[in-house]
Amino acid sequence: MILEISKNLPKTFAQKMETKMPNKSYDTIIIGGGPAGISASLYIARAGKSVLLFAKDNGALEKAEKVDNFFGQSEPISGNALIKKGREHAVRLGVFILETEVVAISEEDNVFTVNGSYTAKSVVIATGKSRSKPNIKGLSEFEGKGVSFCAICDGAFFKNKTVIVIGEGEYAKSEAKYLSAISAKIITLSSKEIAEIYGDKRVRGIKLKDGSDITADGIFIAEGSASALNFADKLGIETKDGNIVTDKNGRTGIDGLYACGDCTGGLLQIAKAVGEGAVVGELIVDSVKLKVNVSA
Amino acid sequence: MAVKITSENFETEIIESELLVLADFYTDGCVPCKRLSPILSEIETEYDGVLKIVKINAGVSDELAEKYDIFAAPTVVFFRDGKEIDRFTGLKNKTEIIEKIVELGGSPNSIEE
Repeated sequence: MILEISKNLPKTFAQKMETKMPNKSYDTIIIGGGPAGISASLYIARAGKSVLLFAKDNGALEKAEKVDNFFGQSEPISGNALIKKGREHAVRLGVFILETEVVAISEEDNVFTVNGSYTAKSVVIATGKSRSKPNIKGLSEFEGKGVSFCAICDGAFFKNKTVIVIGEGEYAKSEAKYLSAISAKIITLSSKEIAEIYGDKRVRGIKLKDGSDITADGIFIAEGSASALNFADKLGIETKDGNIVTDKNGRTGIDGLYACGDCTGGLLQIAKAVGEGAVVGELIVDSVKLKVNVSA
Repeated sequence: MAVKITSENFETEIIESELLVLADFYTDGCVPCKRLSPILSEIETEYDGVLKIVKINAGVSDELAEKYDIFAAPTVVFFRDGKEIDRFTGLKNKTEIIEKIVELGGSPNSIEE
């Protein structure tokens, strides 16, 4: 769904956005429409680069009734209002915002592909604080022994077998769809239904809270939205204590892939997220300039 | 370049190898597997004569993945004298992999003069 433009925006602009469809190729794709992602987008767009920003929701700020510690707000402002202002700012500078969940990301030859359709040479992960793993007995014990967090990585091990996808949202549907081409049977469940994952040296099945039992060869965890950790798993970037590891400028271990904001840990504050977004944005702009100069 | 293994040459390349063998079970489309590949290439060069590195496409040779209980990619299995002696799952950096190789007796000093 394309971002619904505020009625307060100039009519000509709103009209323009209503009919505009996203391109398929951008200089930068940003995953996350919170303070970090928006901040990065402002710097990149102001440098004349094309930016596609995926903003599924307002993240942690959705529940912030009053923000009273962010620069420039003379009166307390709600998290939702602050995000709305930030996104309007980004759109005014030419950032294209899609209110779509990112469910897939891959990289080949230094080009990133998001949701199978959109490509960019740089990607910023700014998805906010990662969710913790579902609290299911046996999950950690069988990680790598039939419990997986990445269908594209591990689906091949369950060819013509029975797998369970844990999750109910778009991300779970996307993982199930991928597995449907490989596995014989796919069962989708909510973690709330599951009492325990069991097995021996490998997963053998799950026990449900109602006392029933489902035998399965593999279990794919895809609860809620795809988080920074899911992207890290899919791309092979380093994480620590549930956060993406970056250098001080937001670089991950992969060229062209950056992370900023709450998903990198530390102080979970708007000001810190905005600052990190700015650093990443500037770095991307500089790296593009460098590449142009080198190839010239 | 790492030898590609299927069930056809598994016996000769891994089981009968006199060297410590690092078997990289990977899948197509697995980005962490692609990141591991150049790291292993560097190690292969540096540990020539000490360590043999082989690659197994687990999506193609699924019987080998099944036999060795591989359920996640990448999984690296170490073999010595035809037997599995250790393994790790997921991407690791070069230092971590070398530490593991040394721990398993694969130091460059073990190259016979």
